[in-house]
Amino acid sequence: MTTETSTPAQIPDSTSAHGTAWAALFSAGIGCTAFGILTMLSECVPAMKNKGLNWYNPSGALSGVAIGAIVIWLIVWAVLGARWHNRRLENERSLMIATVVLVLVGILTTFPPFYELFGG
Amino acid sequence: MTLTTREFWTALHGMLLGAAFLLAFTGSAVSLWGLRSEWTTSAGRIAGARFLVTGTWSMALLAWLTVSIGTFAIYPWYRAKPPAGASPAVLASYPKYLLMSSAKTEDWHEFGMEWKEHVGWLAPFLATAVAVVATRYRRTLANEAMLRRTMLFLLCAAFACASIAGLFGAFINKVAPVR
Repeated sequence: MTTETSTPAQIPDSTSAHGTAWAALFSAGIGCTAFGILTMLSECVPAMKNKGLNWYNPSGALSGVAIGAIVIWLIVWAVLGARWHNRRLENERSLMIATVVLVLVGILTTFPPFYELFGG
Repeated sequence: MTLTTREFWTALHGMLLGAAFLLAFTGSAVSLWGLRSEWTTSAGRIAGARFLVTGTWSMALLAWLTVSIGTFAIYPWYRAKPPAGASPAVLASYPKYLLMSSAKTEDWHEFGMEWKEHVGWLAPFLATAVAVVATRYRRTLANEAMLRRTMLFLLCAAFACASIAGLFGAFINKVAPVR
């Protein structure tokens, strides 16, 4: 039996199978971090603010940040949901910690004094 | 006792949808906190799960409506550019530029609005994930401490993000209202 080293070990088991739940929770964390990174890009890179992320001019770069983050979130969720569907994951504690960290990164990267450190 | 169209949408965004989201959090968080196998009977778990599913989906729907209306309706009115050389009286109709016109008020935009317009968007991601898990695992969630802990963290983070956005929105609308 091969073990993937880049993802939590997956054991097909219909009892206590939380893969679907962790796919949803973890991808929400990814979505938050993606939103934060796009925010930093829009605030620190003038070309992104004025053009690259300005998908709906009345709302400016916020439109590209929001839509871009939603797309990334949904794609990650779909991929993880398919891979972890009804599977029991071994490293649930690591996933919990990673999810928490990703959400906190998302909050931090939307904080103006933080991204202003990078030229925002 | 009338509201302009913009005042109506601003009130809907903040005072109705946003406030309802914060209220829905209270019920959802209490339901999730109390949904433990050692604290409840099986009838209690069924009722608690039902409250949790209703509450979290309410949070998710309210969050998506709030951020969508805020970003694509109200924000354009807030950031609209005034004509060149606009007088202070004219600037009153251009909230962002009114705030930026004085060193005393520019931080309401540079810090308050810039943070609010971004951090509020995290709430719908978080609330939706919790609602989906609450629905999918409603029968077994009482036995899953680690899932519940993570869900509670996401719910509290959604509440915090929405609270920051709501607080700054309320203050900014006092200083430079969208009319």
